[in-house]
Amino acid sequence: MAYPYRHERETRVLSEHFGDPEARTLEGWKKRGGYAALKTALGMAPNEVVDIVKNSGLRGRGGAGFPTGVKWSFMPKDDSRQSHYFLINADESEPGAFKDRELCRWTPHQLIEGAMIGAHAIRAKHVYIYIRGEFFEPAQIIGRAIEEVYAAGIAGPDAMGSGISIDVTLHLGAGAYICGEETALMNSLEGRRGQPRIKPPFPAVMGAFSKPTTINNVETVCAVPHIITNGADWYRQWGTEKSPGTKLFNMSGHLVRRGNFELPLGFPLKDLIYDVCGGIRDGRKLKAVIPGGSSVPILAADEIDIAMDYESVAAAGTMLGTASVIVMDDQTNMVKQVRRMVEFYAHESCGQCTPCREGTQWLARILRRIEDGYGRQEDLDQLLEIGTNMTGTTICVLSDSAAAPVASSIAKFKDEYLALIRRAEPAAAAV
Amino acid sequence: MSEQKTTVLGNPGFAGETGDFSHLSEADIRGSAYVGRRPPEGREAGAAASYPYQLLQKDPAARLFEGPYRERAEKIKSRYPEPQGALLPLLNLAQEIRGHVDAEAMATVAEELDLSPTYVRGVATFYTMYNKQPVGDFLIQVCTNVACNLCGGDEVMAEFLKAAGTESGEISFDGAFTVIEAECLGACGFPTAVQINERYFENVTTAEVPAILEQLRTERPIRRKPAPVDVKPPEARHGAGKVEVPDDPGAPGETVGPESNPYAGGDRTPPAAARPPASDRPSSEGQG
Ligand SMILES: Cc1cc2nc3c(=O)[nH]c(=O)nc-3n(C[C@H](O)[C@H](O)[C@H](O)COP(=O)(O)O)c2cc1C
Ligand code: SF4
Ligand code: FES
Repeated sequence: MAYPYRHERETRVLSEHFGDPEARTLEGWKKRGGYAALKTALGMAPNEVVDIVKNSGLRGRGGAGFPTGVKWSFMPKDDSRQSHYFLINADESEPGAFKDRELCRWTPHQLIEGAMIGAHAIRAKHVYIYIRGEFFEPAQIIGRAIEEVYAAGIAGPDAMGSGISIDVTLHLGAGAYICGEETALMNSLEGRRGQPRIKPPFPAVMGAFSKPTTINNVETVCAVPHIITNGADWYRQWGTEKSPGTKLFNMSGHLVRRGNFELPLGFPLKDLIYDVCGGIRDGRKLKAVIPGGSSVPILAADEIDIAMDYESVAAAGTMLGTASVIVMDDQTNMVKQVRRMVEFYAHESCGQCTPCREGTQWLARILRRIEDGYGRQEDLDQLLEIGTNMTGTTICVLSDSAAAPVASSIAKFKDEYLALIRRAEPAAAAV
Repeated sequence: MSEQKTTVLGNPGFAGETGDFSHLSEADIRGSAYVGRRPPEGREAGAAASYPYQLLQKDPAARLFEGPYRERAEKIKSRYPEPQGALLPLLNLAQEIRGHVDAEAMATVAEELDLSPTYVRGVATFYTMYNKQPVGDFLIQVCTNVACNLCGGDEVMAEFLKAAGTESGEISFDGAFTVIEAECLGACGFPTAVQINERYFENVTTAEVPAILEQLRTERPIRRKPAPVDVKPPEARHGAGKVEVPDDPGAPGETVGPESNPYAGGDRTPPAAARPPASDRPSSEGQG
């Protein structure tokens, strides 16, 4: 069974209309209550919108989990509207994450509505939706939706007759994971190489085109219309005090059922794997879980008794990230998979910082050597040392992300590394 | 429409093929009916940057930004407070027309935006999606990143190379395929994810690979004799000379072939103005 299996324990707010082609169209979306929230929001002062979102406790779904309302309140509060930008991050390329693509292809109007509400809240008159270049199909669907909202007068110089001008533009990336990082995305939007910028200045002071800018993930803005319509308290009925609301869990790897499942934050990881996703394929046993996309530390099979909210996952020594759960069964070659993840970061490093540019390459080479049976006894220490040097020393956290799975897999699956190295040692000594 | 779902486009697996949505056709899942026909000049400026087709028929010698493409380029430029913002979309557009972005295309884009060619080159080479060299009619990108790898991504990659009879990154002998390894395609729940030109194939297993290639071969355009278009010499290309465009878009020289794309109805053929005679094309393009 594959996507889109729906489970009875799901709480479908954002994903309610997945699989409903009619909900893609403007007419269909309006029939389902669409653009009522935008109308309401445009009738409010920007500060009121920010306050509702702040009270709802919505946190950014792009990985860091920063409270969205708070982020919005950093924007300058002058009413000229001349020069603020709102960017939507649809660059989803973290291995394991595939939620934004589904949101874009099934509910483009949910995204545009949320984006326009956000733009009003931060007094921006232009929204750029930055979508990764590989997503032709979602991009076409969003493009069509943009044509519809302009034709209907929802976007444009007089949004829904409110006299407020909000433009929406779709912008395609061209294949670079690093452009998901917020300041790299801004550089890329401006027609530069997608290299992260040194902060400060922060985007709210000087972002895209050197103007105050706010950036949010697709899933974050998709939640906004629902919060405006139903209120902050309604949203808080799900999740925990500090992590309210629902979240799309991207389940991949050796599972009986893979796909996106929308559940309240704080849902137990064990139930997620064994109930919602039907357990491990082919009756195998669980070996390891990556709870938040390839950038976060790995959990061993005996560590999965945790709740999936930002705090609990952090307490377990890893991160919720994008809630992209990659499940590995007992047949998994851990060294190979870690090597593959590190190769990804080596490929995607933008090359500005030496620890990242060099470190990712060295990690990949040493891991490859171990995997191929030429590992040396000192390799593990070497890997850990390189990882330490790569952590906290660079402009963005890609470098830390590359080191995280290496360190955690060595800590938890050392035997596997040692078995490969021991096999290799005699040969290595002979050379 | 359900009986069409697995056979219509020969895609052995796409998200939605099983589970609760099995009543939907691939066209429903992919939204092609909703997207509709996409004219090369674009419609709403905000969306005009949004559809760089990887046209099945690539035209490495085509002029950039002429006719309807000029209109679209202007629309794209109108969306950015600084002209340089249009750099990536215009490179996308160049790739849509030519199939790859070579030094000459970069120079044209640079001129368009008043940037130096070296700068544009520096930007274009940063991004992996710009093909710096021509690729086969079908660019096959197999995800071998972790979520797909766990479910056999490496094996699927090897099978594609074997079935296409080519090395990674090379064009196959018949000009049809270029197979490369890709990083995560954002479809990790449907392993192995494979992107072929703009189309995603999901849940691909090794057993299905030969059938996919067979299907793609039948989708290749059959190229007829080129229309007698009066083409000005190359020096007239950039702005100076006006190119005669035949009125009848259905003239010989049109690419004909089975409707090949899930975005059914999308106009797959570049305007005649963008197409020089066959003698301008590399020989591998002429086979079909
Ligand atoms: C290397 C790197 C890659 C990132 N990739 C993405 C991405 O693909 N999509 C995304 O939404 N956020 C990504 N982020 C996080 C963004 O920088 C940013 O925090 C996020 O878009 C903010 O949105 P939010 O507050 O709604 O979460 C990435 C961060 C880093 C450091
Ligand atoms: S950490 Fe790596 S990806 Fe991030 S800015 Fe430095 S070199 Fe670039
Ligand atoms: S890992 Fe293959 S699509 Fe994400």
